[in-house]
Amino acid sequence: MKLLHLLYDFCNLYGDYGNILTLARALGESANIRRMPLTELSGELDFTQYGFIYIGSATEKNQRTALEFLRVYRDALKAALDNGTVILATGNSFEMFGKELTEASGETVKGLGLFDFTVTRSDERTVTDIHAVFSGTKAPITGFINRCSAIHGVDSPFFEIIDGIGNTPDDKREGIISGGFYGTHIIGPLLVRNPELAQYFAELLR
Amino acid sequence: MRMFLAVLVCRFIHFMGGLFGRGSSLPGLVALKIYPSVLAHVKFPPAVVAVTGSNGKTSTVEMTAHVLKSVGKKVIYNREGSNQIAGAASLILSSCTLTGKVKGDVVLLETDERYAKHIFKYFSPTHYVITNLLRDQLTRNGHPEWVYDSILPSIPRGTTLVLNADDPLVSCFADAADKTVWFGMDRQPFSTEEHIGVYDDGKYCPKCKAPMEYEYYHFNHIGSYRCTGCGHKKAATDFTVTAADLEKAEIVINGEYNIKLAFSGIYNIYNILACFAVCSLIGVSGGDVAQNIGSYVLTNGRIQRYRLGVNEGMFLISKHENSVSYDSSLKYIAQSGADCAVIVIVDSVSRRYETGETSWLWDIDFELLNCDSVKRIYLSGKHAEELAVRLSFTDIPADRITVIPDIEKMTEAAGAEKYGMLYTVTCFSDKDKFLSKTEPLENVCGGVDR
Ligand SMILES: [Zn+2]
Repeated sequence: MKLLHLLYDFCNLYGDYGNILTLARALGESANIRRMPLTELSGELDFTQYGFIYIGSATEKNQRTALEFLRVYRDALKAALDNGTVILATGNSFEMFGKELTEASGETVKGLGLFDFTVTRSDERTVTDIHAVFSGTKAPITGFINRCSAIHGVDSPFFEIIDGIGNTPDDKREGIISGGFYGTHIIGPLLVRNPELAQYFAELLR
Repeated sequence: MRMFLAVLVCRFIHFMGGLFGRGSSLPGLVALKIYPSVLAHVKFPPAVVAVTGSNGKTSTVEMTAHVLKSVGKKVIYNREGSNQIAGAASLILSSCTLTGKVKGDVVLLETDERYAKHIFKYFSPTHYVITNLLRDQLTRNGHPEWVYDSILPSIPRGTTLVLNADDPLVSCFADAADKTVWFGMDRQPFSTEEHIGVYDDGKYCPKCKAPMEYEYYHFNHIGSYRCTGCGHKKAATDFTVTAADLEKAEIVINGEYNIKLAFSGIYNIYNILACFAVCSLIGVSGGDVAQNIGSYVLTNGRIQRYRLGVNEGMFLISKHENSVSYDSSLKYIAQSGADCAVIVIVDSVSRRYETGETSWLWDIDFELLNCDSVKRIYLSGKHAEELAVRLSFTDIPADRITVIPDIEKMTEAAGAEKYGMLYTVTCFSDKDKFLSKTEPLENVCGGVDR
């Protein structure tokens, strides 16, 4: 099983790498992690060779840069998803996969457009612990949100929030699941704090 | 008239606060209610120094206050915890005459990274020191670039910025300044050509995001860099650590001023250097600065020592949610080389707020403890199990790690077996939970990275 840690050196704000290490451990010896830095996003890349792709949180500036680099590989990422690759995007990295992103200044940029949701950014940051329910685990999920944006237009959320905030301040639904794509704004080592969730992904990949 | 009232009320509450032991920002809060723009009408002395940044601002302010007082200046300065606008107003107004003139030669302010822009709406510092921007309390601060954006609007026209040239993000502030003075450290024997640490915030340029090249690193992303894209690079420094010998615990500034260190950490060198730069800029001679920093270092920031059962120990204060602070303690332990055991306690993440957020544990370079001299590692506190998971992803042999969440039970175990030295690494928020179980010993010279 080949796992890709996409932009491990660029989208790495909150110890996010713990997620992919935990998943690799849950998968056992067959799993190996390929760490791809920003500078390797050039030329032809085949993402279908990976069973799993992970990408973590970035500063807003890094996220915009990452988006421009990934734009070139939009179809390659889509091909991987269509081919059965599971993608987990945590923190603000999942915002890149939507239709468009509007900055606090009003500037709007196109997202990768794999999904229909849109993102609005503000000058204020929201930080909070969250507790949530996920249909794939028995125990509730615990995590932390640290963001300056809201997500609009998601039909199929990842989590139902018990305590904390969802995609928008008054939405109790957080993140997105669509096919093999899992996006959540929870930062940091989510799979470490929620071993059942790590097991869920391990099962999915077996 | 409003000034008269604001100062009077501020002084009165300040006085009453002394009697009742109330918080230090209340007088300022009330004064600001009476006269919101009061700080804009205060007559400041010729030198108003502000210090901000992630790490080292408290140490820099205290050291600078000491040096300035030693050369006969009257210094008005704040202490930890009163670095927001109400705190600054309390400090300044309670030091004013009733007509609003500050009774002192220098106002020296430690300002919170997020609140500086509110404080400097009303008055401008003459010198504004920015020490570094590191991952620190990300639960409230977001990330270093967010803090940068928060500090940027606080930089007033006419202020001289005193910047750490070795920090690529801090260096960007120069673009917004009328005048910049740079401090930094030349390459030293302990500098490395490769980056060391779990994450590398200097890998890409803060301006254009192209890859950066480093000639050397002092720690984390602090060192000599050059962007391969826009050319952003370490500036030529006006105040420079030209030599630093960690074994002899001695540094040389500008090739001629020798200063003894109490604690052989790289981090404190920057606090000393920033202090040297500021004092020089407001007219104290290099010789006087060096001599008085020396006397400060010898009497302050001592490392607490204790006895626990059969062991003697050293308490290495480290800030939770601040991986650089932890790394500095872990490096100290690794470099000391003598046989030891290490206690790491994470119980309350913060004194100020409740959170279960422990992603910062993944930014700490625990691999540093994977050395033969470290015979045992005790993990304790509410987050002991999370620490254990984190350490399970290092190459530290599992049989060297003991997990005892209950702090009292842990101290019993750690005190029962003889080790050469028993280091404890934890934060202010968990300090007393541990030290109350030990017997104090005379402290040794040492510094705290605050
Ligand atoms: Zn650049």
